[in-house]
Amino acid sequence: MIASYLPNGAWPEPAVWALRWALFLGPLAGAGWLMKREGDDRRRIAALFALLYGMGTIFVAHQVALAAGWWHYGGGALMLAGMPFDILLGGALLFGPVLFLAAPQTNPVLLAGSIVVCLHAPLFSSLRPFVHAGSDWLTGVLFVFLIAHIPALFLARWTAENRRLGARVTLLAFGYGWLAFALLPTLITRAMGGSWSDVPRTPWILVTAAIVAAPLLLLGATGAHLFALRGGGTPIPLDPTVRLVRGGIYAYIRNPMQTCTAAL
Amino acid sequence: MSGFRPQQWVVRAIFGTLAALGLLRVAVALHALQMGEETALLTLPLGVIFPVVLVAALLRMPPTRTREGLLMRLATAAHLTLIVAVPSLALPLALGLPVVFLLVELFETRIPPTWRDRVVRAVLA
Repeated sequence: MIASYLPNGAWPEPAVWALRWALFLGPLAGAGWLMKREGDDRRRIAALFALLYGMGTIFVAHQVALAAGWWHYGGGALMLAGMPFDILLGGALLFGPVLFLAAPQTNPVLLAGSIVVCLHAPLFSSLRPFVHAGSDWLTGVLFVFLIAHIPALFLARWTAENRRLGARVTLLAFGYGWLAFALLPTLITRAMGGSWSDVPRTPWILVTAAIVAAPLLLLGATGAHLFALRGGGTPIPLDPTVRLVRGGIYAYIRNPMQTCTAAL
Repeated sequence: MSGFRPQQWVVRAIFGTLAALGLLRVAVALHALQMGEETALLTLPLGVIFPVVLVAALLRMPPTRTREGLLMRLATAAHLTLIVAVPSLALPLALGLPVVFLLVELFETRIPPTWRDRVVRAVLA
């Protein structure tokens, strides 16, 4: 929509640089200010959980969006698997601590919906050369919101209100999974000078990986499940269990989640 | 308030180094921009401003209850300064942050007490 007002339908370069800075520094400043202002420790922890959930899931949702051709990013600065890392962090801050602490009582679906209507709808297809939107970009935006942003805000809200423990633990496990098994390995691979395309993906390797990974994932998930079911808390020490869990897998391993993460 | 806090000279040294490195990074980014290369400019928020904000937050925190806690903070601040100083190694350094805690643990448990106390007296108020 905005593109029709721009010369050649694209933003001038300085405007793109300013936008890129703003998309990281704005949420960073907002999160810092709101966290400092917030007097309730429980809400601060809730905001932190939303950030942790968002980092892994935003990354994975964007990988799906890039693979589906819903959009792609221009430029080469700070790129991680086709996505600018500062934008990932900025998004996780904005759709986690910032929005939650700014409007803790607002329904996340309404909050997200108004952002899509007021911000993405008029702007998203006009962000060239920073973002090149495909024809189906709105599907991608809705997908990212459904997978990453809305659950992050719900996780924060439920954590602050200390309710829906099962859903909270499930969301934490989901977010942690993508953080530990997608985002961190990608960062490590990048730091070592490689990329996922260097990893052979023959069918037998994928099948073997799935056979090895499935029981480990199940074991780790069982550990988180028992914390909620018998301990009355989450696996994260900031929102701990209220009872000591000694049964199930904990009768044999003290920290099944860390063991499974390391093994995987 | 009781507790452990860093010597003023340590705080000044860290902020002084960060200020110098920050200015250098800005100058390099502007020079690169004149050559038509925008990457250095775009990496400034994450590669310079973010670590500086983190260091400022770390050094403005209330005094720690333990000596080890303060050493962890100072070591993290030094590590973040290193990240600003060596942009080409920023990602490996950032991923290697837990090593800082290991080094502090080794310093606290393995260094001969005479050396350790001398260092601690120099940096802790």
